Amino acid sequence: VNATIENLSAHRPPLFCGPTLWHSVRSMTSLAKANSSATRAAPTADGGLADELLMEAYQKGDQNAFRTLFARYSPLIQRALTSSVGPEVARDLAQQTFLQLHRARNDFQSGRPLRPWVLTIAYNLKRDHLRFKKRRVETEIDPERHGVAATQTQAMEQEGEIARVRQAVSRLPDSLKDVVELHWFAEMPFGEVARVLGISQSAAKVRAHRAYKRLRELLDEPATAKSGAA
Amino acid sequence: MMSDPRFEELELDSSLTQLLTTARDAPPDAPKIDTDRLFAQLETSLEKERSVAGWLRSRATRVRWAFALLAIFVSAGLGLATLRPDASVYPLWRLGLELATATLAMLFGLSFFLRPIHRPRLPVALTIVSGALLVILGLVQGALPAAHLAHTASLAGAGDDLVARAIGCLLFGAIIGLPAGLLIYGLDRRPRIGLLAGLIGGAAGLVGLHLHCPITHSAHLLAGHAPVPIVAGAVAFLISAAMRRFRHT
Repeated sequence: VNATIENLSAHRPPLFCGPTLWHSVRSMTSLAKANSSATRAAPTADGGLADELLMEAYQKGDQNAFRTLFARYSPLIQRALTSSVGPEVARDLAQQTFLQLHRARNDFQSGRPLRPWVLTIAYNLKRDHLRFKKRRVETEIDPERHGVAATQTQAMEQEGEIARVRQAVSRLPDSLKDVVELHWFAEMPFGEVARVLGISQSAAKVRAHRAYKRLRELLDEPATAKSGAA
Repeated sequence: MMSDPRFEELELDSSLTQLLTTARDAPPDAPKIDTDRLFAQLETSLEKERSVAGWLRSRATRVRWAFALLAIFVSAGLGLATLRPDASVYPLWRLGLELATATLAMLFGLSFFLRPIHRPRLPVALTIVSGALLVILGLVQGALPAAHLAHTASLAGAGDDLVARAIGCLLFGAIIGLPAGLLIYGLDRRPRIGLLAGLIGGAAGLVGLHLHCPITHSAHLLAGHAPVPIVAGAVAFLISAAMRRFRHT
């Protein structure tokens, strides 16, 4: 028994950690902070400042930082929202997102990622817009809506597959569509998708799995119909 | 295409990956708009933010909360400054319970109204519930048995006197609650109707009125006190609608 106790004591950390462990913890914390700052301060692929640093600069009144953020995020937001609301409204919502970003700029916390923060604003505005327009979530395919979508994207019909994919995405139920838009079109990892939608990461993955499966079915539909007709 | 880690995790087929990549990388189907032009339009909107309301709503959320709580405290404090003459005989536990219930309902409403837009959205039903709680607050207070009948001032407001005193209380509550409601509405960052803000302000007015008016008669409470949040909410709604129309024109 004594040998076992001695063995356990040897592996157990001392109750009083002493200055050595304290210094280790402090140095680890400093290292983590340095890594975090380095990550945030790291330039982007285009050689510009990281989004978070630009946001911090804007909080301090740098208008150019705001302009750069708009140039970076406006296309991303439009790309993510186009399937749900169409290109014109997506553009309007991108502008509204930045108006809200301006109003909420003092809420942005240094050290937090900016992308899910901005996309959450955009998605909340999109939901407000859809609720205002009384557009219902459609779990089943609606041929009439499909017809409207086809009219709206008339210019895209020449591009065949692209139009087909966008139509298929637009026909997904909103909960699944949001995941596809964020995960694929806004190129966000599941952790950020979950943060934007206010769900767990595993729930986001489950929704993505269902969404892509449903998308596959929707994309296969015209081919099935054609073969059936033949 | 299958080397994309996002699709490897989901084990999807390469044809779908290819289709989605094509759709994602394709130019938008709308005519291309110059980013500078879009930004210029945005700057026009931002010019309108150089106002008192713009300054208020661009404060950090904790500051907006502080403003809202201060407005509520001032409204209720006006009632406290003219404390009801029957305070010495009013059951303390009941007064405490009534104030606590009203405070919780107001905080519940504020938590939806001041919720930052960069946080995931809560179900709309919860906002409706918070508004409904603020409406039924006064009704519940009026429906309860009289707190006491031990003070002469508490016996007024019934019979022929009912309407006149009820209108007086209603105006008092609405007047002290409405400014709070409008300030809370000014703290809102989204272009919403001011109904919930008015209801919260009205509830603050109801608390102020409750601390001021000594009448404990049920009919008076239902006619003169309970409608205060509804009246304040309706007025705030009308003012917010007029302001929105003015902005559009």
